[in-house]
Amino acid sequence: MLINYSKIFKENLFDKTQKEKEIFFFNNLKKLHNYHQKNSKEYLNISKTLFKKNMNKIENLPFLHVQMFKEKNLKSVQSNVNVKMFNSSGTSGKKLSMINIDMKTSLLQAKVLNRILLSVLREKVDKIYFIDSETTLKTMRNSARGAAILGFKQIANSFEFILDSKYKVKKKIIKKIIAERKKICFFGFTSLVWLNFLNYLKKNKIFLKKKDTILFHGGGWKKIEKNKVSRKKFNLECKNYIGSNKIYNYYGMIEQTGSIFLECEYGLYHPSLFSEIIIRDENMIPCKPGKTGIIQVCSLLPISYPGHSILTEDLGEIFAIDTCRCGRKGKAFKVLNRIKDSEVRGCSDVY
Amino acid sequence: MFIDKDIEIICGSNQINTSPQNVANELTIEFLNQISNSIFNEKKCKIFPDLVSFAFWCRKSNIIKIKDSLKENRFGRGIVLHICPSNVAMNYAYSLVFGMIAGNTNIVRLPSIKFPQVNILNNIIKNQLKKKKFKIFNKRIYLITYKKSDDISNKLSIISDARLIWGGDQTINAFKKYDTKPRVVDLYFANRYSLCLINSKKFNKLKNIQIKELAQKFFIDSYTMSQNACSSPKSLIWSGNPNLNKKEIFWNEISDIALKKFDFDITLSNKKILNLNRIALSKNIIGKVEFKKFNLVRIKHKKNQIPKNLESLQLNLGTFFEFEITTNSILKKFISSRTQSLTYFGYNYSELLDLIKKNNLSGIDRMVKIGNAFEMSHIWDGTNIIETLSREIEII
Repeated sequence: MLINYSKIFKENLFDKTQKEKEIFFFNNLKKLHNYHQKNSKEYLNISKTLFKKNMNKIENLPFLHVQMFKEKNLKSVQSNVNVKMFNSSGTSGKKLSMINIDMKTSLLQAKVLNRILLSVLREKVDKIYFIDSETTLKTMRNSARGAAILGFKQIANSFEFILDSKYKVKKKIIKKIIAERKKICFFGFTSLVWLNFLNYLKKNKIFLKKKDTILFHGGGWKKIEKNKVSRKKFNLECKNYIGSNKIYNYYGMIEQTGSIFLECEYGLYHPSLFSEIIIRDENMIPCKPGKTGIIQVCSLLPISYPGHSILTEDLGEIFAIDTCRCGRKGKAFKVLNRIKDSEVRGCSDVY
Repeated sequence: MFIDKDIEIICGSNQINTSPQNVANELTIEFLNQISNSIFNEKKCKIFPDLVSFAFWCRKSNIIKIKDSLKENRFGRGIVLHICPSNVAMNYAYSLVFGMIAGNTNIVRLPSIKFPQVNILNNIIKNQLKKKKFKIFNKRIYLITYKKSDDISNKLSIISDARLIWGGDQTINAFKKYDTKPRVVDLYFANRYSLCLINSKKFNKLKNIQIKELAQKFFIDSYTMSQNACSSPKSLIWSGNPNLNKKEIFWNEISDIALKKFDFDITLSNKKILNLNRIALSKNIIGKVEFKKFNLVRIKHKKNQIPKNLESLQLNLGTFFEFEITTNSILKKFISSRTQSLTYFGYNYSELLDLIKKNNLSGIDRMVKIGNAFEMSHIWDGTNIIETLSREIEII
């Protein structure tokens, strides 16, 4: 077997110190690296052309630039293996990522996401309310949002969408939520939670009073950047109108579905046993804590495509190693902003 | 005048004077010299080396040299349209001067990026145009900007007697489709590719300090404009056997200079790694990437190993193919009609001429010493621009 996943599933997700994690993670990531070298010509070419041979640490293992998933259809499976292609939700006009997921990878993603979510939920809930519309599942099933909804579905016995096909809050849903007596939770993309749900509650002065109910949200702040919503403001409004202070943001991407980085109560993201993070400076050298750099994400899940180690276009900073007040060991980081898109052009590009 | 309300006119009067003048006439030379003087006299110009170089180039003594190379019986063609690159600040200025010396009325589309030095020069030009003796140039110099528009470009093309399209293959193709006068003369400067050739025998004799001086010059050629300029070398070819230590001194010095003078930040670094990903996935790649500091990336090749379609790969931000060749006859394999400049070290005129003659090269339009890649000349991409923008009247 490639990686002994069942062995990893027996361990606690956030208990390894960085020193222990490095050894554990390197050994497993190296296995994936070898696997993808054998199965993806593109990965092999990039790793042979761009990277040094001494691959003795996580930081020395090759990585692909996240844009490559938009420019190339990367696969690490034989042509007879069934794969489903997932795309990034990307804004119109931009190229979408092409992520090829086979059954094995898909099951793994689901299982790991489940484990990570249960680390804060403790047990399966009775119902998950999606701050989204059923339309999303119909029209964007294979997008980041569709994939997230399908993934989150498994932590509950049942589910319901809060928004209608026009992304407005459904008429009778609020009463239903208030009347719920069993354990529930919420999930939605950050922008939908803010624009389509919280704004509605605010406008109609509705207070759900769902104390201790968890809200998961992710997908980034970009869409609501202009509204100047900070994490603090977001959480405060959630506390106000939903009534809960258990708000869990996560950092994740379609290229590494499943092994998300969950934000802790102190506002820092944590890699689980299934993922790792490296912040790199302009010379591609790993940054020490406190220095801003480019985020590289590593995951043990991608088998059907070479996405186990990716350099993103996000900037981040490590805030703690083994010392986050939440008690989780390993690295704890913040995501700052995206690298600004300043096109470099030559004298041959006029128009 | 002026053709379209969406054109922003920086300078130029409502009535255009389309009648040609003789080449390099007295008034034009004086006007250019005044501009040169104004640049030298203004303190704020000194921080823009490209502006200062332009001032040197358009001073009287240099223009007279050009004049002496031209026959007296040459006259302008009428209206010349200049479409200048969006990102090379001073290109428009040279283009304008070529058109003026050739005796034409010039409509110059300025670069879309707002460069401070462009603004400074435009003000200098405007001030000169206020002078009574230069009044006529108000009808002969038009500096304009407009947002990308087929309609406007077409209107401007129809009235032009000559067009100078400073590249981008895409732009060139667009302008080929517009309506023009039947006798229009077009000059296109397409995407090009440049190389650097070093004679190892001569290089090995250099003292460390001289190697560092050469590195400084190579740095200017390649890192100005982030290596995106057509004339910036993408490949460095060592002819013969360079001394390993000296070669490293050369490269290390370039990286050290870049550390001080090239603003290489996380954003550029991210773009560079993306570009290297693309290069690694191109079919032709056979070299191996190596770098100490990421501001200088070498893609090293084994002796006499040359990839096909070298020029299809977009190298920038300090990324170089590095080759070693045993004999200069192999050089031919590097050269196609896309090859523009060869910057060199360690060769004399006859050796270079020999190189061209013996090898029937389909490319290379200029050979300049390392450090001079950006030196502008009225002979560009193998064409004498001033002669092309003027006509010779046969008098027998």
